[in-house]
Amino acid sequence: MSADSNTGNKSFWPVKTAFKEKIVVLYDALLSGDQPWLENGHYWDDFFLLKVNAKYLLEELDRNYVEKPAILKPQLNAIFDQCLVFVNSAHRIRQLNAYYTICVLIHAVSRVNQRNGFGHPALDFLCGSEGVENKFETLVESVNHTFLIDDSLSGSTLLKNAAFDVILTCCTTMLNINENMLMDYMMANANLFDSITQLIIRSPASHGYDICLLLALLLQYHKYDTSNTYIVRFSVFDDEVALTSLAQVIGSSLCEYNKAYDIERTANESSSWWSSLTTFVGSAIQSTGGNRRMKKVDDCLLLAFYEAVHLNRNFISALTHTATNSWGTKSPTSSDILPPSLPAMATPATLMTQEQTDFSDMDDFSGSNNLLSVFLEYCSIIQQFSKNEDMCNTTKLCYLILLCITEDEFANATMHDENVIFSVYLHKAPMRHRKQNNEKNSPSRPLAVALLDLTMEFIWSHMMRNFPYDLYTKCIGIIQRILSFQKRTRTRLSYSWRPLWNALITLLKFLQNCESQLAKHRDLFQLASKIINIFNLFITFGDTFLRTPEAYDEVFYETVRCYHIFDNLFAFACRYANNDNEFKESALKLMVNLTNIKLITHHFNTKIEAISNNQNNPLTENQVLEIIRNNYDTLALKLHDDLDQYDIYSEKATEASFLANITRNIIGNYRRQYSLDTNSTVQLSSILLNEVPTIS
Amino acid sequence: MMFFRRHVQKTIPINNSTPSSSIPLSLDTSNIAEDERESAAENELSTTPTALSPIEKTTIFSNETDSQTTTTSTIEHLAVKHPGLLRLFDSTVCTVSIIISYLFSSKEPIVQQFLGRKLFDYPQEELDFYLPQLINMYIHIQSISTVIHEYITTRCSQSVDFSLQCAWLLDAYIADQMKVAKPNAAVRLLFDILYEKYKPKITYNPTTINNSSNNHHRLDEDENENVNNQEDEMKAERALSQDNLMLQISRKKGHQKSRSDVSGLMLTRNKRSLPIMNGEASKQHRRQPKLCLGDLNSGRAFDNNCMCFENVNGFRRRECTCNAPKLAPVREFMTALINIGKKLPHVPTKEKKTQNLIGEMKRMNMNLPARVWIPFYKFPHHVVRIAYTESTVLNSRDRAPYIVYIEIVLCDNIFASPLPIKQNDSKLRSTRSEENLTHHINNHQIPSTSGMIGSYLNCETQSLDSELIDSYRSFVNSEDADIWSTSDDVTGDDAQLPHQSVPRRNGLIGYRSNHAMNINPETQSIRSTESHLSQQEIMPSDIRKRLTEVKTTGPILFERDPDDPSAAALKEPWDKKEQRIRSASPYGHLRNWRLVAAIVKCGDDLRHELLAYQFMVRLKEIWLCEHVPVFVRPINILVLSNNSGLIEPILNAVSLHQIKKNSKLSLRNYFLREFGTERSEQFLTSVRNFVQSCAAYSIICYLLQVKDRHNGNILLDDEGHVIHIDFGYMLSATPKNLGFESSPFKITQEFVDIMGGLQSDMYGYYKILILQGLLAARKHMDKLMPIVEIMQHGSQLNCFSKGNVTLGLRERFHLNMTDEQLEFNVEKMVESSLNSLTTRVYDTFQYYTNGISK
Repeated sequence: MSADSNTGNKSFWPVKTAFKEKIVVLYDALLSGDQPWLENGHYWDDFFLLKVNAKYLLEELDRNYVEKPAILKPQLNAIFDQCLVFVNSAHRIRQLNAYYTICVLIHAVSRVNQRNGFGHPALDFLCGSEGVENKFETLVESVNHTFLIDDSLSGSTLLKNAAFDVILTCCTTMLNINENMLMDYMMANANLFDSITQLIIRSPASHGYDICLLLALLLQYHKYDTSNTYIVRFSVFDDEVALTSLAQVIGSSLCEYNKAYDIERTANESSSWWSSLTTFVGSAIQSTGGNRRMKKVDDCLLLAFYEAVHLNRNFISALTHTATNSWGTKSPTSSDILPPSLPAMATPATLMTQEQTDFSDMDDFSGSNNLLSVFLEYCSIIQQFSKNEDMCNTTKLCYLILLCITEDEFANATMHDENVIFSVYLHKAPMRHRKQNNEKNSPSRPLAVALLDLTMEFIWSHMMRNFPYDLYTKCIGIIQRILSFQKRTRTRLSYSWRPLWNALITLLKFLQNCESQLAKHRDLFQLASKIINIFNLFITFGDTFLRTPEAYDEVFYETVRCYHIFDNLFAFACRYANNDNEFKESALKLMVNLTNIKLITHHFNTKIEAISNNQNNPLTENQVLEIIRNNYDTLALKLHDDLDQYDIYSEKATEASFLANITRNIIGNYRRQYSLDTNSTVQLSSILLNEVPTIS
Repeated sequence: MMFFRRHVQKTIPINNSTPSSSIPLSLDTSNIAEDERESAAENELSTTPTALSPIEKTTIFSNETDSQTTTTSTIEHLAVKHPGLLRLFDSTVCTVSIIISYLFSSKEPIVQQFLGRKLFDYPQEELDFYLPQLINMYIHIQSISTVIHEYITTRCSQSVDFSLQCAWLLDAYIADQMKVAKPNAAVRLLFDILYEKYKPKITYNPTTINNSSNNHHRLDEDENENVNNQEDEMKAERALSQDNLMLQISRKKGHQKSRSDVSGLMLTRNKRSLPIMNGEASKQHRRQPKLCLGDLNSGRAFDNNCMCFENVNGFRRRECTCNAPKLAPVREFMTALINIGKKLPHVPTKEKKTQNLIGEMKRMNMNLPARVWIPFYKFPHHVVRIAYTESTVLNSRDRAPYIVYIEIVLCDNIFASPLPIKQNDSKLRSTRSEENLTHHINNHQIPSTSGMIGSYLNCETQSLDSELIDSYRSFVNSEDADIWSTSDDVTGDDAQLPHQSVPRRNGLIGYRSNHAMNINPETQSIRSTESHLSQQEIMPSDIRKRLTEVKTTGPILFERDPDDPSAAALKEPWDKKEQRIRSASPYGHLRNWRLVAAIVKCGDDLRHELLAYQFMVRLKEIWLCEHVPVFVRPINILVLSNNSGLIEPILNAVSLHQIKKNSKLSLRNYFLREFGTERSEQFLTSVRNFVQSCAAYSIICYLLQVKDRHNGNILLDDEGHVIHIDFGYMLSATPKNLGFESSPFKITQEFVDIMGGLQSDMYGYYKILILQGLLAARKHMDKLMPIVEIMQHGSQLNCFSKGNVTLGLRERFHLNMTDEQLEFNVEKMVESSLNSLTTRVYDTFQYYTNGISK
């Protein structure tokens, strides 16, 4: 490669044309319809030795596609065929270039075919009408093989990256993944699943993101209509090591994001929070180094996370896996011969180094994290910005994940396990009426506590004009699932419920106040019913999951204290129940659900009034509690059935379009950022050059 | 010649597996018990000289050929020079103890040579007890090392366990010596063992019953079947679920099911990684997965790749022929445990420590089940899982010893029995909550069975005997009506009680998920997702009453305390804990499932503890044979190096410190609260236990001069026994050498209060027991002294650092006193201990420095 750049290079040397890269010359020749390989037997050997100029090739392909498709097609077919040959070459540089060339070809074809879908015509244009299936099978097989190259082979990471480029390009040819014909070939080659799960064990750090993206996309293809091989395989997948790796990949990028946010937040403590958001989002999009494509916590990671909790029950146990020394996959000290480790024999020097390596882990060690606790913190950040539509979608995805988690028995058991405690810091949106607490070291508690706090924070911070009804339903659903788990298993979580009740009551009040704006579109009564049901759970089944009798008194205290809100709610429901409208039924149901609370407020209020009339001072809290304690006997309540029953989350019924949309965004995002880093050819060749002395 | 012939005939049974000892079966199935008896019978059989395994023969022959001449000449010499000694050694009164002490004290090479040979004649278990002594002599006394070398190496080549023990002990006792000089022989031996020069032979003879070399419990011939069945079923199930849909893969999978169990997974994983060139699948061949011993992230850190005993087409090899390292898996397992212990002290708070511990244990779990075992549990077993959420850091100021609860599965032969299939944590509890509800409905009325079925069906997809399921299904069907009817008066708590009394049926008890048994019956009548009012009324007053009852009934359970996370964990009764863990464990359904615990300690020298253990075991034997009714509970120790090791935890015991801190009661009141009123049988028994154990430990503390007796080091178990732990300071060593605790032993007014005061009978009984115990110990002093004496030789341990320790010990036996004098002496000692100022000062000191309650 003689001259590298050629743009505007005004040289004194009299040349007719500007300098061109040799590869560019070759491209030009190919695209104009020449068939130089007929004359030169080594033509392709040379061709694939040259660094791919993706930008130029892409542009030329685009231009030619419009201008002279007839000439382009056979040429394209020929190049594609040759690429397939060299993809399996033992020569690593040619292999790499072949991969890149394929990427460019597919991408170019997909770009122009965006409207019509990547169907048969497009495929035909790319690789001819015959043997398309075989060709792609070959391609996928060789990608597969590349994935499994041993890490010790130099340049393997670069090759694998290129292979990922190819496979991801194939997966993203269409915004609507279901229209992408190439996905069929992926489905046919389920070996891909084995190799990526292998890969995630071996090198999660360098390929983790790509694997998540690929997995997320593969799982989206024709989710509901045909049997997607990957869905089937992923849902029965039980390799603990791989699943743990996957959890760590997701967890570590969430953790990175949390840390970045935290730095940003403390830096902008003084300035207004809005500006902190904007700068933060801006900076988050700039690369943070490290991972190749990792720019911010992409939705694809969350989508992969979602699919994992949704499909794979084995993944749940990886949720709380503490990543102690995350990427420090220490190479096994023992090869085939066993060097016995002898602490006593070791010389002081080696002991020292051992100690040091041990301490290098310590950083991670003290800040040990697991996916779930990191995720909860992440949710608390994301939900602050759910005004933004994009962020709102992400928040929704987060809540879907939480919903799935709380439906899982094992996850619930883990979250309630008093031995499994973590300190989770939840970010709170700054609001005028409350103090910002910046204490980072909250005490360690079971994860269920953090989750309840998170939902409570959501309730407090989202009572706004643009009411996120859907998110609220999910949030209340999460609380209900947690409570019904506790009731079912008689788990007595040590948690002070009062703030949660207050939040719920305030929410009820908000619903009434904003009736005019909200009631037109949303069935407020349904949401209110769900909230009331939570109170009913406490009232009728408090003995199964409350920790102390005092807590039970407090439920009554809070309901009695806020009786007017319940009364108003009842009246509000009455209004709708009595005249004919679309919400009549749910309003009626709400009235039924309010029965017990009405009974309680009525019963105790009369007692309280009777006593408070006798004395001048208003009653203190303790006095009221005393009254409540003394008057239980005369109160009888109605039993609600199935308070702890909830509709099992079903993706197909409710969230199909949402997820399709998310997928679309992910693909769109990938295509927008599409850029091939063909410079790795240079890297690879330098690596290989360095290798030569060791070989000889 | 005569001697020699007898020497040949009287071969000891050479067992390659661990010697059989009685298995503490917490849940006794008649089956297992029977099997055990059978195996005991086998043992007897095996001692008869007729049945000799090939290995034994070879060893004997090698003895014969190598040393026939020397042996005979030794004996002849001995017969000439010391006829009395020879008669002693050949007589029936000669015990291992005598042999060991003569080996140590005799300076004559002939005698030593003879004794080195004689070692072969004694039962291995008895000699194993003296292994620390043997190793110490091997290291420090050159002439002895040459004579016992053959014994040690022979044993090493027979048993992996013995090799491991030797390696650990050598490692630990060489350490001191390294500072002074290089003991070449010992180091060489250590390396030879580690590099497996004396490679332990591993054989497996599943059918031969009268084979003497086979010492296993045959408890799992059928269990094996069971596992195999499971395996097949599992595979079949997989084939159904996965392969159906992925024809391509199943085609490749079909003909290589050779590697079973966990490794099966590994193999398939590995197999997929075979190169596929030019789109054409290359030939599949069986390849060993990469060896990743010690790499916890690999998922196979404890797998040595030995596949010799795999069932290949129904044929099973009898002997391990591969070159896989045999010691490495267990050593790596221990190293992993120790490494965690090394990291923990650097983690700032107790809370964080426990958190990290749980995380690390979970990582360990990824590598289990594996063919590793916990060496101080002598029954053969595989470690299948660590109940990681239960592990907790113990109280200690700077080090962080921790306790782990390890789930094991008993097996026939550690190396040959198939491992249980890897089960995922989330398997047992079903994922979607709704799935359970159907099972919950049938929960009351016959809570035990239906609960079991409920959870049982949940994991029906997971292996297990289809037969059992069927039988349960038919059971369900037959009593359909009863099961599905509802009644409201059974509360979840009541439902548990009959449950526990149900005999263990098909090994399935306790195998029910938590939630299945804790159902509130009130909710189960109607099923619909819409909530609506029923006509039933409920009274909030009842609800509140129930809530109050939950708080106040039952024995004291310690609250969780972030500063002392272990208190709650240790207080929980063991059988409850075991049952709870079993029901939560994915392996809980296996019949041979057991829970064991181990304390991992790093940074402390456990060789003291080992010495104390040996001493206490001997004392216990002495007291047993002299019928002194005192109670002592020696704590088994596994020394892994000079500063780390495993300690066997005392079950159902908490320290006095924890009791006082959590219950806020005086000890006597605590006794009353735990064991019932003053006149109750249980209370009286527990007080008697208390006195008997107090007496025993008073003697031990006196003889060994055990110091650092603050309330954190004294445990109280659920029967009232006092158990002392932590013998780090004894003989000449004292904490910081401050010379506190000058009293003979620790007895405080509070202890006397439990006994019933100074005037009580129990207090008198206590003193009598001390006297009896001391007399018995004095009588058998020659069994006790060698243990300490030999270990002192060449030792750098700080318990031997000052003064003549053995002389001091000998003096404390008061050989010169008459019984009356001794009685007077005991009286005096108790008196002075009780009134000791230093005890109180030390407790106060501990209170202020370490926050340990007085």
